[in-house]
Amino acid sequence: MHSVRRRTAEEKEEKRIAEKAHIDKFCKLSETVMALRNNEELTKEALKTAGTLLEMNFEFYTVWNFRREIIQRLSEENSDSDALYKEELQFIQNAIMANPKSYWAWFHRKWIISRMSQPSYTKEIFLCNQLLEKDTRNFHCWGYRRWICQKMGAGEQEIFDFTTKKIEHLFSNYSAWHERSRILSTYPAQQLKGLLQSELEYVQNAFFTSPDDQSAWFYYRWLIAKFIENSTEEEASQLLETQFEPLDQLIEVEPNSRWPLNTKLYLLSKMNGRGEEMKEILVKLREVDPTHQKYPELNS
Amino acid sequence: MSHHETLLVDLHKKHIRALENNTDSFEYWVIEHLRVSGVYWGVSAMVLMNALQEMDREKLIEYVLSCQHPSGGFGGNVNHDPHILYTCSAVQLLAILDALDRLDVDKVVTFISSLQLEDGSFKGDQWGEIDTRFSYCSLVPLAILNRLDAVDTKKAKSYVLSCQNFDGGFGCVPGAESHAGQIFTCVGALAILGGLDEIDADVLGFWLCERQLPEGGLNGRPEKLADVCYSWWVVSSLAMLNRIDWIDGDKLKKYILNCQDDEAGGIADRPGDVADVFHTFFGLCVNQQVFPSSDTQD
Repeated sequence: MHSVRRRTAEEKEEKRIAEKAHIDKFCKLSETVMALRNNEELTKEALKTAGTLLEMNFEFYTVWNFRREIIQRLSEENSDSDALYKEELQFIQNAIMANPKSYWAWFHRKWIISRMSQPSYTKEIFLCNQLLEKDTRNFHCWGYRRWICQKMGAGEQEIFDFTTKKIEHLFSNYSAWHERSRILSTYPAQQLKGLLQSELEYVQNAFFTSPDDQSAWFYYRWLIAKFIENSTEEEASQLLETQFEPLDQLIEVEPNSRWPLNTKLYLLSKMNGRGEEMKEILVKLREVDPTHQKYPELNS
Repeated sequence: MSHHETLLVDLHKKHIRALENNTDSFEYWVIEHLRVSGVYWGVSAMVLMNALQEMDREKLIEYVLSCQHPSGGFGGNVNHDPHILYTCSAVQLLAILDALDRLDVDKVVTFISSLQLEDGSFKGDQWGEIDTRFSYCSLVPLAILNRLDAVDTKKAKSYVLSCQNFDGGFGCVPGAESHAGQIFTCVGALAILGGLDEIDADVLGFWLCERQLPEGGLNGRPEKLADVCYSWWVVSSLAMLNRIDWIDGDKLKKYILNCQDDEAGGIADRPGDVADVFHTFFGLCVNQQVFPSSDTQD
């Protein structure tokens, strides 16, 4: 149970009375559905009854299983299975709208799409985009979108552009930064290196706009590490040298912001003989960020 | 918001004992499908409060066993379908209750090994959803039963590692975003499989300790609110990586204490919210992990 405020004794009593009928209905319906299943009533009528029960609790996974058994049977009996599947997609959409974090509902959607002879992937993408407008960070939805993109053979550029759109809407959309890193990770080393300069500018723009937001900073660290991994020592140190100027500018404007400082510490740790500077930064970090206890850069 | 200095152990015990009689609340029914896990959280919370003897052991054992399906897997409740999530909780419960001798071990092992796929991943049940949570929940009971040989551990390990991301964390499938709960399951799976040295613990440790917010609690992903359960997933992952001292334990303890319900007992996700058995258990776990010799002991 998440984000439910505590109630007073009076409120608890009101809730108890109000819930009684609801509980009775739920228990009775559960019994009915379980009995239908025991009797292997794999009919349209049973599908409807199971749906009413799920609407009371979308987490009742055994009932989702029952729905699948019914759908399997009906699709064997019926030549027009796609109509059945479309109805089911509508049912799932309602479930997801009511409970966007239900693992069972999202899985059931994949199961249905996998059975369809000609699913409309564009409709699925549209639904995902709609849901990601409401909750930009829903990882179920991102995961489902990723799965659909793969099924429809969407190009990497298309997915990359989508992350740009999401990030520009909200710099702190960590899910979009994650997706961006995933796409770039699939590129061959040389292609990735070629993109690096523009990516660095892109991410710098993000952290200049909101320096206290973690998302861009994690992405930046990764870009730097990726570059070092694919470069000679000389190339790496040349790149690192160019990174301090923008960071120092930011530190000057936002002296109490911890991310420019801990990022500078990270960059220095990738270079030789910068121990003294690292110690100076650590003193400042202790002041502006007392919660953070250890920095791996200083372990070595 | 109420502030507390200590863990309200007696109230929490009362809260747990009252759970099974709380049938006039819809919350009781709405978690009916995961009752076995609920019992596991409740019983384990009692263990952490040194109060297992206050529970009816025989009744609990009989209940758990009644959730087993002919296939060997356990459902979340009597007559519910078998799933690895509840099979894991059931085996953990029987181990805690020292009743593994009552279990048909071969049957459970057959069920679990039937879930592993060619790429090393595990599905949750016959319907085929794949998730690294299911890898963990398959490996835990096998480890308890000393039957890891029943699955391909090498492939299981490589699948988990294939779910690692740019930030050092792990997601539910390859390419999925890092999430503290998922990191717990993946790091836990690797710990069981002897694969912790394949993680860059400094990169992951940094991401994990950055989950701590100024109020002391930890979140599960960047830019999210603190929560008791996420505090546990993060803290336990840091502990497995030997980096528990990377967060401020005193601040975290204060946060957990402030999430207690000082009237009805139990611990909530956040200060002022309704307590439940899940957060009560994980709150106690955090307390135990960060402060091993603390005030839960009589």
